[in-house]
Amino acid sequence: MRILGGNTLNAYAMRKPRRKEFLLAFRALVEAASWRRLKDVEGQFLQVVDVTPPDCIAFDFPEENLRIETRVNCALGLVRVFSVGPSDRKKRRTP
Amino acid sequence: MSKPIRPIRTEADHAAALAEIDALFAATPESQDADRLEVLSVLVAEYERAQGSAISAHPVEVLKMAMKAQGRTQAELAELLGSRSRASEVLGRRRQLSGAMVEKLAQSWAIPAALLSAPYSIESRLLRTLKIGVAILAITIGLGGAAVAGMFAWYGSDLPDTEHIAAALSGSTANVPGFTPLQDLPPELIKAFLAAEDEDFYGHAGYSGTAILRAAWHTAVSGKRQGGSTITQQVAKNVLLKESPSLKRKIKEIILAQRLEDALTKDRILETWLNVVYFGGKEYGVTAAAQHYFGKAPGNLSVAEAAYLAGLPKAPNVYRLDVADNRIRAKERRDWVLNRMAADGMITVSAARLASAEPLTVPGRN
Repeated sequence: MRILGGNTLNAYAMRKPRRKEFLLAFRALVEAASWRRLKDVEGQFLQVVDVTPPDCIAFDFPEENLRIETRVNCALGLVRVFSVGPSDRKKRRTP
Repeated sequence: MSKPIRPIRTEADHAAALAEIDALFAATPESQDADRLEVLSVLVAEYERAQGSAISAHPVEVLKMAMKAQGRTQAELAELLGSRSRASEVLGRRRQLSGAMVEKLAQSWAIPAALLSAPYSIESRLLRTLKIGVAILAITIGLGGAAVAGMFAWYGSDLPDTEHIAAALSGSTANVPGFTPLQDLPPELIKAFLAAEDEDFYGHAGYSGTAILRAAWHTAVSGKRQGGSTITQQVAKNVLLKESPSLKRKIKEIILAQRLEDALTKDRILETWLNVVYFGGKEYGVTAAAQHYFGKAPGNLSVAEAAYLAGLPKAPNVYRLDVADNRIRAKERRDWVLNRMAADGMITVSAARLASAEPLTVPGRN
């Protein structure tokens, strides 16, 4: 998959250096993936994806307190990164 | 007709391209929009690659991320790799992912082999052992420190505070028979006691950590109890504590010594000590001792006599001359005090030699 807006990931890693390795790993896994449909994304990131049709996917890692919001166009092999921030699931877990 | 696609050279170009990509993002394949989107995405990706760093992901982080993404546990990894220790070492970066492991992970968990194959450095066993050793040491020191602090707080809670000590000692020793103010004692006598008992008296804060550690070491090694108390601690022990020797008393002694230092001046503490310290028999205080052993007032003592008296409080019954023939040991002790005085610059070496040459006699008993 081709990542667009990857500079958002870099900027967040600069602000939170402890997340840098994790974000690099995320980027590497996404770039190495070849999703044909949204189900493939869900299959690979089963535990962490929040899908909002038609093409919005958020990758939410509560343990890392990280949420990466994207749009995915599987047919063209594109992942557009919109934002990186704290996890929503972690917020929900903490009353 | 859409505007022509331009190369991306600046952040503004990049932002404009991303905005157009967002507008076209839902384009279906084979459409004009899709073609434009594809060209724009190539340009954007290339620009971002040039702007970003070329650091590749760490294989172990990729593995961890893939495990989190799929909700896999370390136990499952252990099952896949064949042992718990292997899984733990891989995740802790203490073991390289072997070719066989990479193959298993790629086949069973669909993690791209290329991402797991990059070489990386692992922590050596020695370094790890050192780190564990340092951590254990730090924890031990921390817990030990907390325990000591807790003991000090516990034992200190029922001891008199600074105000009570100041009030209790403000006039008490003035009522001691034969009480002699510090200014009435000759400087050589005071110097002799400081040399024999606590040469750093005017420098420490009531106790000497070095002396306590040295005494504790000596007691542990030889089995014989050694002092290590400063003059302030001795005042605390003799005037304010009535307990028999124990670790508890030693701690209380240190706490009280610190409070004494806050409550009284150094001179006042020294004066108190000189007037209550035990010299053997029924003799307490330097004036009584000078009278008992030499039939003189303190102001009339020679340097040699002052040094003898200064050596007595350490072990009065071992060095006193009035009940047994302790002359050899007593002279050794006196000469040691004289040497200390000379070494500390309190008297000259020649004065110390002259004093050492004086015979050690107690009037009326020799």
